[in-house]
Amino acid sequence: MSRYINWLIAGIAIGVLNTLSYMVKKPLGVSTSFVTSCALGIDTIDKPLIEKNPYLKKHSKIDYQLILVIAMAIGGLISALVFGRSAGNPGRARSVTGIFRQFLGGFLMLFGARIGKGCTSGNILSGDAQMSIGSILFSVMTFIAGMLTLLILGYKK
Amino acid sequence: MKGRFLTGLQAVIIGLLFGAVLQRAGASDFNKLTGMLRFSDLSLLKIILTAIGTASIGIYALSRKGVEHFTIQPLQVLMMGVGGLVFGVGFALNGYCPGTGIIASMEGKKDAIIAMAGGLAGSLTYAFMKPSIDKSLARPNYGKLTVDKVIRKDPLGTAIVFGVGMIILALTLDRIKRS
Repeated sequence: MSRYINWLIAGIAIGVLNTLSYMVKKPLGVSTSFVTSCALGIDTIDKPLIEKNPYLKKHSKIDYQLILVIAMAIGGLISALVFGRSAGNPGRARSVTGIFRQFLGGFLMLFGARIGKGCTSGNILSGDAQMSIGSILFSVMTFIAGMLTLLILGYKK
Repeated sequence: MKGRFLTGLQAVIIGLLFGAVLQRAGASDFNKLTGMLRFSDLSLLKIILTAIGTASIGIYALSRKGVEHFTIQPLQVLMMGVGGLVFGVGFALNGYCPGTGIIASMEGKKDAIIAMAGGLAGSLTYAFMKPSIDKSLARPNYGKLTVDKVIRKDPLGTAIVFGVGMIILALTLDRIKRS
C-alpha cells in the first residue's frame, strides 16, 4: 500500500536510537545545531561578534549533536538515493509568496524551537520520552498552533 | 582523546541510522508532515507516539542502572507555551520540521532548502534577542517537573505505564479517528 516502511517498526527503531543516544551522551535533538552552524559560520568571518554574544560563544564548537545531525543528513540522503525521494511542494519555490512563506515558516519554526529549547526531536521525541511536563506543554501547543495555521491558511499554496 | 573519538563515532552511527529511518518512514515527505497537522494522515503521529513510548521505557530503565543523561527543561510555562505556539505556526507554514527539513533539503527539495535558510536566520535572530526573551518569559517557573514527580510515583514504573500507554494510543489512533 505504501512505499514507506511500517510505522510501528519505524517508531520502535527511533525509540531505540533515542535510548542509545541517551546512553552515549544525551537524547536526540536537532535545533541547537542551527545555532551551532550560525556560530561556526560567523566565527570564520567576524570573531569579535561571537565574543560579544555568550549564547553564540557557548555554541561555537563542533559538539555531539552537530556530528549526529550531519550524520542524520547524510543518512537521509543515502536512503533517498537508494530507496527513492519523498514528496515536496515544488510550487512553493516558484512563486514570491511561496518563497516568502517557506522562509518565514523556517524562521518562526527555529525561533520558536529556541524559545522552547527544542524542536520535534528535542522536545517532542526526547522531552516527552523523559516525561517532561514542559515538553508535553510545548508539544500540545505545537499541534494546536499547527492545526489552526493550516485550517486558516491552507496547506497547498 | 580516545573517549571523545568513540563518542563521535557513536554519534555518526546513531545519526546515520536516525536519518535513514526518518527518510524511509516518509518523515521528510511534505504531504505526510502537513497531513499530520491536518490529522488526515496519522502515520507520522503514530511513529512519534511509538518512539516516545519506546524511548521513555529505555531511558528510565538506563536511569535505574545509573545512567543519568537527562535533558529535562524547567517548566517555564510561558517559555514552553509561547515556544510551542511559534514553532507550530512556523512548522505548519513551511511544512517541514527542523530535522526532517534538513533531510528534505538533502533530497534536493527547494521548498525545504528555503525554509532551512529561514531557520538559520531565525536561530541567529534568537541568539541576539535571548536576553530580553529570557527576562520576559522566565516566570512562572515550576522547575524540572516530570509526570512521575507530579503523581509522586516511582520513575521507572511511571515510565513503563506512560510508554505502554503511548504505544497503545498509537495502535488505536485509527480507530479513535474513525469514531
